[in-house]
Amino acid sequence: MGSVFRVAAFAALIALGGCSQAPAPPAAKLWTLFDVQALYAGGAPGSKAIAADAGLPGGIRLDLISSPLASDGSSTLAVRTAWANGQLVAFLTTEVWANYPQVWMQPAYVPVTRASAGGPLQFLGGVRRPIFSVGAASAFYSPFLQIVYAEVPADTAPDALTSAKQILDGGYPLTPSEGRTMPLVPDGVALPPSGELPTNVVPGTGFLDGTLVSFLDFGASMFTWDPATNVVQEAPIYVLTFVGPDGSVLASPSIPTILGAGPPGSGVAPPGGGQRNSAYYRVHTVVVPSTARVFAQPGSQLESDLQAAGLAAFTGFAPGASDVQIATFSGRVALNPGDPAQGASGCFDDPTLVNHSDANPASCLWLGSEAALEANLDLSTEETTAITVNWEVTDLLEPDGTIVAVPQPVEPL
Amino acid sequence: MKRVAVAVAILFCGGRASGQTAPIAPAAPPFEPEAEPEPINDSDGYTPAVEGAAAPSPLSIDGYIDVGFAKAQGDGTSFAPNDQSIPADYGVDTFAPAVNSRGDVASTNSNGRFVNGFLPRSVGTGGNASFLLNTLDVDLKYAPASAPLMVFSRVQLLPRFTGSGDGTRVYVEQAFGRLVPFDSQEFALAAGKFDSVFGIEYLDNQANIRTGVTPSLVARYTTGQSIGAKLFYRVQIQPLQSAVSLNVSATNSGNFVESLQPPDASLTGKPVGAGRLGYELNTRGIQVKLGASGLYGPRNDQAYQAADQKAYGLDARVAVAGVYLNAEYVHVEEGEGGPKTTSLGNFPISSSFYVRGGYLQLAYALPFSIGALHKLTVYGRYDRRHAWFEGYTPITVDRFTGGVRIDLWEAIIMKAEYLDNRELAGAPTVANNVFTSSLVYSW
Repeated sequence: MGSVFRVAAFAALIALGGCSQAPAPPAAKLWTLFDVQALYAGGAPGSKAIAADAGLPGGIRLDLISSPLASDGSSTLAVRTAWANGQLVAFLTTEVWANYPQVWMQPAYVPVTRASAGGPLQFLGGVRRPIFSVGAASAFYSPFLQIVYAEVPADTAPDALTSAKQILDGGYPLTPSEGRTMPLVPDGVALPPSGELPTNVVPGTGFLDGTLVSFLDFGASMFTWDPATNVVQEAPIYVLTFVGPDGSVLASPSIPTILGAGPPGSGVAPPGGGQRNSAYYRVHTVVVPSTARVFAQPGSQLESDLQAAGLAAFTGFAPGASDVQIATFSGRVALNPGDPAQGASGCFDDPTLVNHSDANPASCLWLGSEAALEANLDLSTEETTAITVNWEVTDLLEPDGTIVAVPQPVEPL
Repeated sequence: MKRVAVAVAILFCGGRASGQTAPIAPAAPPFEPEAEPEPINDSDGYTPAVEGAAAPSPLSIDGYIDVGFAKAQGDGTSFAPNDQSIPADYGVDTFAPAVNSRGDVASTNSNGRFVNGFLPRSVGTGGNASFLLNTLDVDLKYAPASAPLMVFSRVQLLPRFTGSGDGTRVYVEQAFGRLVPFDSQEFALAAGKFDSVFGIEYLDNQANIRTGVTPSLVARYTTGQSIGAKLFYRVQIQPLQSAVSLNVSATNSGNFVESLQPPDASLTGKPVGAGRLGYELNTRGIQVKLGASGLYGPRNDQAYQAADQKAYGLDARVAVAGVYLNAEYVHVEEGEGGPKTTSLGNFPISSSFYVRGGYLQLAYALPFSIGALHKLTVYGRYDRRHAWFEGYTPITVDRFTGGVRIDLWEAIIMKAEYLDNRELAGAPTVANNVFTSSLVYSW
């Protein structure tokens, strides 16, 4: 009996062993286009948000990345807009990271050859066919790739090299070169129709572990990295938020975000003064003053969207505004609109004040650039979220409705 | 009854020290690992204390010194010089260039490439030939005649140079108390820090026990110590010259080595269960031991209880006519969790991970003994490992190990072996073969 008691006491003590759990630090999570497609395939609606607990009110809705699956299983990347140095730009989203302190560039090997000794390099088989080393299911997958040219013998068959191991074991001369943004995409994910977005993005195919994979080539010089660590350098984007009457923080994807300047050396300068800089952004939120208003034409879809987001009290309009003004300023936030309900005058009182003029302090102060945020807002309200994104600025959206594809930089090869 | 209560209280209230297998019996021949995790059948169980001067001392001090000499190819790592994929430790086998019985490798220097904590300990010698003091081991055992209790500790001094300075550690590998509550049964309860209960390779952890010098390619998953409680029970079936045993544990980290999962604290608040069911056939001409092991619980390199790890394994040992065969198969799956913490530091991500692997070892002890030469053993082992992190290229590696072991008197062991590491798929081919040797003094 005594022995039985010993065993029972022992077992009881084991059972009493700590099974409680302290709060765990947030887990890093990456969503690629494959994940978005899988969520849709699993029945998720377009309104389902990812990265919902990472500091951005409402997270990021799936339909802001791609459309829900069509009956044939296809979907289309969603076009969104943002402000960059006062220029409205269109961009696509291909990856979302939550709780990643940093992301890394990965290598992509491109076999090249010379038709004759000393001759110019050319793609093996005449086609750029990169060999990726990390798949989209990896937590360390990256659309940010350093092209490493592998000079192979001229008689190499075009599809003979299909894996990183073959390249590394082959002993070929390797030349690390430019960084390119080339997200892997699942079958059935398409770019927006060219009529809507005449982007220069090029679909392509490459290899991953001997298997053909599809990717989108957004071009070179879209990002910079620390050469010692291969960590991709990030730029800020700002999501403007309002504080509701109950103290809740309100945001809407219908209010275009504001792109911060990219790291030196990244991006290209398109005509018109816009910017196409870093493709890797960290989301920041900034609370705008309660007197600010989003310019929204009554009865427009934008106004409906803002009302649905609880932002009805923070919308405003300048009666008599022209079509060009509406096209230019819809969704943009003015700091001095006035408030007819409170008898406060402001720039929304008179359409002639809507266009900003440095010479007229009564004209609207618009938030459309990082510089405007820094000059006019209390940035102590800025919150750095745990969300980073791959946002590819593809087009400039002119007030007259013209869409200009952002030019690609000169190819290094 | 009071005695038992006090013993139990000591076992559990003091259970934060660290520890492993109790060497109740003298170390078994290196190629004949007779010692089960709890070799109760080799002891006399609890007997009344011998009175007077003839009573044996309840305290014994044992240990060994393991001096090595090793030379690895290349830079001592498995990293390919031209490979820039990240993390550097995901696409290669960083444990391949092992140099000693602890599984320490010649180097883990990735030259600045980011690594994510799938790393062994390193002796920091790179590709240089170097003498090493692998381990200074001190074992204390206290077995009072007045109680069915044994207290054991194994403290190891591990002089290391990291490449950037001194990295010497004092490591408490085992510290536990063991209670044998039933006088007539092979039944033991232990609490503290103790050896694995999974598979058989942990029986060879120590340099003075292991037949060869280095552990197998799957040892990292099965040979680690951890803190918790365990139970051992064995039933002898005399008519069949057989026995059936059960060894189960609940610990902080399961059986992964400490460089992969820290054993000294639970990061999830939930224990990891592990166990082995064994069968033994002991006849005059042949001995056969078979086992099946399993492990389940949260991975202890992160904090999420839902991020589980599960493993199963099969093992076999056969001894006949001076030939000793050991074989083991291991299957491990780990779910994705939160930020990773190992004994080597903090890392951002604990990726899902999968591995299948095993080894087969043959050893033959030449049947002669001349003067100081007590034993001469030749051995060979084949390891194979197929593993992948989620979304990362699966890698397949294997290794041929061949070596010789010489036992002089009862106190000196000389071993030398060569490891031929090969990258069969996924991982880039690198020069990472190793020559290593070990001179072990025991007391």
